[in-house]
Amino acid sequence: MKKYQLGEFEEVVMLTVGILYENAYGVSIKKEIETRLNRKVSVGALQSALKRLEDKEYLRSHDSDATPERAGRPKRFYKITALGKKAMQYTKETRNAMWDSIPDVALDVKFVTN
Amino acid sequence: MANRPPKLFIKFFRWFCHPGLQSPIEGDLMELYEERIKEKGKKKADWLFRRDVLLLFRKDIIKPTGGTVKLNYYGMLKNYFKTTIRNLKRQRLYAAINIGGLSISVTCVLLILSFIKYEFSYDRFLENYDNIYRVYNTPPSHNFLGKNKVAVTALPLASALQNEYPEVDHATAFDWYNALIGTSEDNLYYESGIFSDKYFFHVFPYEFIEGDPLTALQDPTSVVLTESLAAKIFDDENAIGQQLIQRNQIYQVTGVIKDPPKNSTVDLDFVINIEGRDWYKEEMAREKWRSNGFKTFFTLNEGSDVSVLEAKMPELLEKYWINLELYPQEYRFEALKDVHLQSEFNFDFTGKGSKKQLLLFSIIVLLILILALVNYTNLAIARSMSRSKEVGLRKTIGAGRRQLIFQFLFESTFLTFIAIVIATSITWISLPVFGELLGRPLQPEIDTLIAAIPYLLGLVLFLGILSGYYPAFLISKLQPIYALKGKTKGLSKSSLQKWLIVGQYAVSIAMIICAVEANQQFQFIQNKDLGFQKEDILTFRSRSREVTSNFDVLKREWLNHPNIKAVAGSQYLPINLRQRTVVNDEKGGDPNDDLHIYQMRAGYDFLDLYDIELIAGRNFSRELKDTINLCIINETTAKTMGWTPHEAIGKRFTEDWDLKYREVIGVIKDFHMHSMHMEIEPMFIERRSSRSFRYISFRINPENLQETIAYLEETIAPYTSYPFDMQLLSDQYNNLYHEDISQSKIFNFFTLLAIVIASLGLFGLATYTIHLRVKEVGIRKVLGASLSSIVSLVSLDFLKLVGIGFLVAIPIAWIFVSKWLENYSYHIDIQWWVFALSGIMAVIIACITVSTQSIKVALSDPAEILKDE
Repeated sequence: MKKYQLGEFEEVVMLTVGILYENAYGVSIKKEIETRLNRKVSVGALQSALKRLEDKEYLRSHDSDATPERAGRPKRFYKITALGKKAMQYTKETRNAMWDSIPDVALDVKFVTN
Repeated sequence: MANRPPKLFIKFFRWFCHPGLQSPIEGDLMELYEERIKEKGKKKADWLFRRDVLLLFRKDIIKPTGGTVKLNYYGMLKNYFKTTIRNLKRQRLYAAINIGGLSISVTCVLLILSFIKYEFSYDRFLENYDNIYRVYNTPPSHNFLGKNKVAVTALPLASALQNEYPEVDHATAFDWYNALIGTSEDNLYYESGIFSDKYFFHVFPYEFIEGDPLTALQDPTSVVLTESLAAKIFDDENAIGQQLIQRNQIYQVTGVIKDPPKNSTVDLDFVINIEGRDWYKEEMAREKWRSNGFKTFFTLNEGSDVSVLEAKMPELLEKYWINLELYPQEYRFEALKDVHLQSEFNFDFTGKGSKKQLLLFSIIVLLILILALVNYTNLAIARSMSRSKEVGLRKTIGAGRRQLIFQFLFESTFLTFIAIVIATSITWISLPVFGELLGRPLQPEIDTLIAAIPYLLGLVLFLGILSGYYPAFLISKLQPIYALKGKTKGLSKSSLQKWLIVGQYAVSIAMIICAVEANQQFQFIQNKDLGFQKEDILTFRSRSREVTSNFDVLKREWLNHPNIKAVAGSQYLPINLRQRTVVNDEKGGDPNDDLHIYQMRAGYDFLDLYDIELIAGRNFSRELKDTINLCIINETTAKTMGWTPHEAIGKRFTEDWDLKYREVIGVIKDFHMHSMHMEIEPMFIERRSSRSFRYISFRINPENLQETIAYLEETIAPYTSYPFDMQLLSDQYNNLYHEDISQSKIFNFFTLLAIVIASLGLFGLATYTIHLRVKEVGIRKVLGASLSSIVSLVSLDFLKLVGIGFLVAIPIAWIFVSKWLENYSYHIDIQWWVFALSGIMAVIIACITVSTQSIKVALSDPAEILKDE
């Protein structure tokens, strides 16, 4: 049950890291989420989510060489681990299963707005 | 780089951020920052940067507190705390002795510190206190009442300073005494007044409630009242503009000031302008100055050097003083902030402090503190034996020496912390009582306490380390292999412990000796033959002419009262002669033959009333129609002049400014005309009529004293508006030693504390040592040792130490006592029986202390003691 725990924001971050593939580091993830979901993401929120995901071993990271544009600081790139992939799949499957279990009537707008 | 993010925030970020995350996140922040500058400008970027940093300050990103190393450290602290508490609980007696001794001594320290702080707070309420100076006079070879400085100077000095020296901002001259002031002759108040020129408030910026400080005293008929005096005289009416009379002159209230705080050298109720008085004008108009009678204070202009100005004073005196050769003067300056603790002046303000006293108290308190620290050290060393297994175990599982030292210092610091908390509370409660003993209104204040907290914590750390360092050092040295076996080589035989006990007892015994000797001196003062009768005499201080000019009438009436045996008037009382003059054999005679001599005027009956014994010649006599140039001298005068008492009769001398010769008609036995601090000096009595009397003395029958006083008050009251000032001569005599006695009371109290603390320490150590020898005692008992032999066996070691302490105390006490006795011109010789008595007392106290424990052990059942072996 609690095998793969993934919060909503964490899931978004995982998905974004997947989308960006080879280029997933702090700023690019932040921008990707902001454009795709049209919502503000603070550096703090993002970094703490990344840290948590890394602690859960859903993500792993490696630092690039230092680049002058970033005041000599490295970029930390993130990749999804096998465990992370399982977690994402698990989340997706449980969601799908739940979607499937909804009786058609429940989503029939005509009934709802009556 | 041109664009830098806000420095403080980047620093803050680096400080809190987890080191593993720091550089990539910082990189992200920088990248965003650069981008935002391009898009939104630097200002906006800075704001966003700050916001980002603050939002990063969250659980996952902040570094864990200190990492693994520090975590352990906290664990150890927790453990030390636990061990400390357990140890305190297990050994309640030692904890109590340590905490008790430390709290008592720290209480003394805090009390004395509060006192010192108060003494140094004098006049600090004036915003320019460090720029106010006073001028004093120290005439060469002057010595009056045992002091060689005079707080008064010539009246015109202030205006000369102000007008002729650009360094001086303002200068004021004033006199200071209690006087009557009120709305009418029937409504007068006896208050402390300043009689000043118009610049008083220019120099002393007291806070005005009403009126203008710079102009309030401008007018020669102006008077300024304190808030409380104004309320007293005018109730709720507005005081400004009201009229008051003082010495038959009308004044107008032009200002009301806030009551000055108690820690003010110049204690005043009103300030009155005296520039309109005739004598003032006369004195100011004189071409040459001829007398010193006023206090002169001034403020300095910015950038001026007070010592440069002081160096110009001889020049000023040269210009104005009437005759420097005959009456040499020397004007010097003193900063107002030093005035309160300066006690070497004649004609000075009253209620002053004394640096010597502060120093003495500080030393004593420091000694008491050391005694308590020694207790801690001693007991800690003794207890270390029982802690050896703990130390061994700690070492075995990897504790380093430094950690052990830290642990034991932690314990001692914790203990001092408790002690200081207790001491602070006791100080809080006892401060007013202590202040009363010293004549100072000391009150605990919450602000002071809060301000003192950092210092108190500093004290905790300091005392904790001081008391705990040596035991910690010693215990941590133990080899684990021996420690675990229970062998404590080198610990039990610490000779330091013994020397500390010797030191403690030396200090306590020396203090006992000093206290007893001081008490002996006070007894001596009480019982010494003063040369006059001081018992059963009432004296009235007469301040109004009305009483003295009706003296003869009143006297006849008084003598009808059954309890009044004799009445006499005089200028001074035999215990407080204050006037001195210079006489010579002839006018203009050789100045080397000048004799400084105290002078007193008295009526016919003075010598009889006081039972002062004539040893040659005769008393003043009504029958012989004495002229006023006759006088009676004391024995010392005769001796100084080289006359025998009988030769002295008929001899003549003169004062320089007085053409008339005085002729000696009698010689009296010396009497003590001041306190015993001072020598008996040459003096003469001349007979004068009642107008020169300031005191009226009554020889009374001590029965119904209150009734007699009430009767006298009733008869005197119609003639005076001054408060009725009637006192027993013996009370006034005791008052001469008021300071000495209150000092000795405090000293006695400290002595008691010292002996209590030292005994506590000895008790603790004895308890412990005897406890260690319990088995030995058990075996000895089984083998037939007697009770007394066992008690002496365990007690003797300690008594030896006390004995050595006594030997050390003797020279120390001898030095202190003889130094102290030098303060008195008439004093006891050091009494050796006091030394012996003090030593015996100390031994008895030590005996009682130790034997409570040794007897307990000696009486215990050997079977009980030995059963677990």
